[in-house]
Amino acid sequence: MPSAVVVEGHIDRTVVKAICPDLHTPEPEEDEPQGREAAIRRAAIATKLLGQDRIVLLLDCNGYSRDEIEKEVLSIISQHLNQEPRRKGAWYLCEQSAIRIVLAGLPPTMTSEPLDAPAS
Amino acid sequence: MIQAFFGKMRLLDVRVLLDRTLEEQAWDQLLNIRGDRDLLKMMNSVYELKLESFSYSARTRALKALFTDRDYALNIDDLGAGMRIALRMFMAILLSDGSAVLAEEFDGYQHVESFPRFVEALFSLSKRAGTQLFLATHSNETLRTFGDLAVSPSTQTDLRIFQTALSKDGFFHTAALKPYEAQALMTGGFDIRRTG
Repeated sequence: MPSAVVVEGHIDRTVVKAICPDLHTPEPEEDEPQGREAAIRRAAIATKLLGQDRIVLLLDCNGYSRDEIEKEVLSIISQHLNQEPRRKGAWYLCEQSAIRIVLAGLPPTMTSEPLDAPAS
Repeated sequence: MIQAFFGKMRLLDVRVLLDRTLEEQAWDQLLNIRGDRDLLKMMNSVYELKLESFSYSARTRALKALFTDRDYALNIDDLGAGMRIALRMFMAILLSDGSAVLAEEFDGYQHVESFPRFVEALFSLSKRAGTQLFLATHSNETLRTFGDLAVSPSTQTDLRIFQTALSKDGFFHTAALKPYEAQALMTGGFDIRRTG
């Protein structure tokens, strides 16, 4: 089980807690910035905490590809840790901690065309 | 130089912070540098008091507070515990002379309204005395207040928050967080006091 599941916002957290109430999913304060970048930043900084050794970063695809999102995550993590994390399987290792990116939502291939487009 | 630094270092645990003999031991030394003026100024600004001066009673061997709006003196030990702790923290900083003050659970008994002013006073006095503060706390409110004030332009201070844990194999682990990092985690729902 991961040490923490970092999500983008309150709705995502509600969904995760409804599916798996035992997961440690930190609840951002009401006025805390939400969205992908804020979640990545929180996850990156949380790798510095003692005991936060397995962090799952749950992100909404929002029309972006996995490669694009991974690139953004790596860039933000590297800025915070002053070094690029090492990849080991599905995990990105940051000193004693590790981050795993889990994508949810629709990938770009599903969002590039209008949903009501007629079948050719 | 190292000997001078460590020789002047002061450790204030909860017992010392509530110990009235601290004034007995340190008052002369404090008067020699007119630290009583700073004490008066800080106590008045933090707790919105109307202190006129302090006086040491030779007979009762107690430090007394004299107020502009009262016709009698009060023993320092008759003040609230939070005020006494603040007074002893300020005294320790004033006497540290460029060394360090280590204080444990210094934030006990503090009122929520005066606490930020207390922290501002700690920042200001320690900067002026060139003193490094090492403060231990279990309070999220303290972490938030220090974080907020450390990044505020008017009270900007070089602050690090160290999360610590003693593992079962006897190793002492620590992680340092900058104020903005601690703030991001706390507002993001993490409890940075937890290490498990």
